Amino acid sequence: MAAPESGDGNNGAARMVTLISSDNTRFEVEAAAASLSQTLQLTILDGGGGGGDGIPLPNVDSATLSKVLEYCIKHAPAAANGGAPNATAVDRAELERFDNEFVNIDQSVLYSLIMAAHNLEIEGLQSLVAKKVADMIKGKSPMEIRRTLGFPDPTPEEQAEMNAHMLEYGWAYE
Amino acid sequence: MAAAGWSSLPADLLTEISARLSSDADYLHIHQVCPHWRAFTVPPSAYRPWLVAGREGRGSGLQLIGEYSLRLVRGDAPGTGVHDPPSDLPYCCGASRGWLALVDDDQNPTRLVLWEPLSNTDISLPCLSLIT
Repeated sequence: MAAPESGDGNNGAARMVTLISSDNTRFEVEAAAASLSQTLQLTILDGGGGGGDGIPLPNVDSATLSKVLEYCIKHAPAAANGGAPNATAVDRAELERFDNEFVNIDQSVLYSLIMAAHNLEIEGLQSLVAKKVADMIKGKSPMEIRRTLGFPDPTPEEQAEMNAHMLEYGWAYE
Repeated sequence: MAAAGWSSLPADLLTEISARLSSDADYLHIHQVCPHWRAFTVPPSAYRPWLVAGREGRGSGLQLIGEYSLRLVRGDAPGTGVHDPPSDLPYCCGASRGWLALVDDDQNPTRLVLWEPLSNTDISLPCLSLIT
């Protein structure tokens, strides 16, 4: 995906856009980083987000947006190179290290992140969090998965339904 | 709040997460987490026939397919919808993801076919032979 200013922006400083979180915090960020979001890229290509306007993001709070932008800023250079075909092994290893560290966070933050990535259509971030959640789920029983992701204890009805499914799939537990 | 979130995760995100699991046990477990996850994930038995066991052991060579007990495990109805194997390809030399690799002879095979017992689909492959 091309950075939007690559066509018209030979005027030195990178183009900046302003994003406004649901709790009204303003974030100024390079257009190239914000454009990792397919949704924002459309608005930015239309000339939105510059100057005093800002793009409101009613579904993303400031804590989540700051985390999302941390990811976008880190990944923007590689994305501008079309997936970084000429990135060095060191660059790639550094991005991978960043990614691993980045998702090493509480499940509630992972949830906010994957929902923001989904809303803003940031494919790389969505896939990174999905992989992390899958890794957290692997090898766990349904109850352990519920605890890992902070589900409340099942209601008696839910417990009965889970027991019924245990019976239905009893062969798998033999 | 977060928990309410995971239990109503958009279906395409659930699909993306489950696509990154690899074992049947994991597919089974996420299917049982809560009603919402159950609705948007597919348990393994719904699409994967299971080759359970050989009926009798043999010292060497390939097993005759008829010597295996072939079951699709779905609830308490074993064998549902499983077709009989092609009679001219009696030997099984491998299985993966619901497909069986069948050959016509255990010593000098001339035909190699992938066969899927649920749909009775077969795909002929070039038969590998030993270089002598």
